[in-house]
Amino acid sequence: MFNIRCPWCGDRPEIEFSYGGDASRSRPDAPETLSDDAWHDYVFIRDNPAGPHAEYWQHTGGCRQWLRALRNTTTHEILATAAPGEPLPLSGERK
Amino acid sequence: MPEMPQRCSALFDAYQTGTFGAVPEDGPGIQLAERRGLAIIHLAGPGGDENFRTAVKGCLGCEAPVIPNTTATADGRCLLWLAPTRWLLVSARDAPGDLERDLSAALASHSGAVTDVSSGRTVIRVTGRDARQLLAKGCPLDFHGSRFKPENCAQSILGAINVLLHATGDGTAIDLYCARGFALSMWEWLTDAAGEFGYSIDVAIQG
Ligand SMILES: [Zn+2]
Repeated sequence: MFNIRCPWCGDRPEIEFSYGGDASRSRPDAPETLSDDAWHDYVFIRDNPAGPHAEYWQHTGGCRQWLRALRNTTTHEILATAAPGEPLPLSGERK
Repeated sequence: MPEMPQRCSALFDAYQTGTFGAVPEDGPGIQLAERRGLAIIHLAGPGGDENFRTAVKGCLGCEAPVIPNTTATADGRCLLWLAPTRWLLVSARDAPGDLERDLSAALASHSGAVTDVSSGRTVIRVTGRDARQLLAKGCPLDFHGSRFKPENCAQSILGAINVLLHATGDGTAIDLYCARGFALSMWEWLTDAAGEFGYSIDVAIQG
């Protein structure tokens, strides 16, 4: 088991959290102009990195707030967490 | 308002006072008691808004705490932090309907929501020298006195059930709040886990 630092509650065990998916993608600004290929890429295509990965988590067993976490997928180490809207250090977001 | 039916504890059929388990020579290490008849109200609103905070304090006499996992108590009423915009109000001296009405009126011109959940929560008080040891068996929180301090609260998981914990008073009594539908399951977990310490089930606390 690993700990995740909730921006409000502090370090809490992973069993209090629910995984919320890849946080490295941003919704396209003008979806009405998007090609089918670009939509396909946004909706379905995900990196599968061995190393740091930006993710959404929710503190479902605690304060129920959403947060972003940077997790090393090979070691489960949580490198950083941030509240929504706050910068996530080292996040390497891609469009 | 029409006459409401008498509230009945979710633990009614299981609640049997007495002393149980492997009681050592110096007496049971755990005391369990249900708190009944409380007014419990869920409050949502902008915690950072000074006008909202003033209205809450004016109605209740106590501040809505902004520091996560802390509580504020005044005159028998307690506000427990749940989230940046959520609190649980617990009162031993108000009738649920009265408190909901008064707080709703006080916040009428503010954004916010006041919801009476008195019938939807079961509250179990755990005391005794082994109380924290017992809770640590099923809850991943750090129960050391330097981390879970008097008047702290925390939401976590106890025996796979979502729970709100409150270290009341000087921190020796810990109140557990769970959804009514899970109350019997939590009670069974507690009485099973408390067996090794020896435990007493005390007369339910009114308020
Ligand atoms: Zn939290």
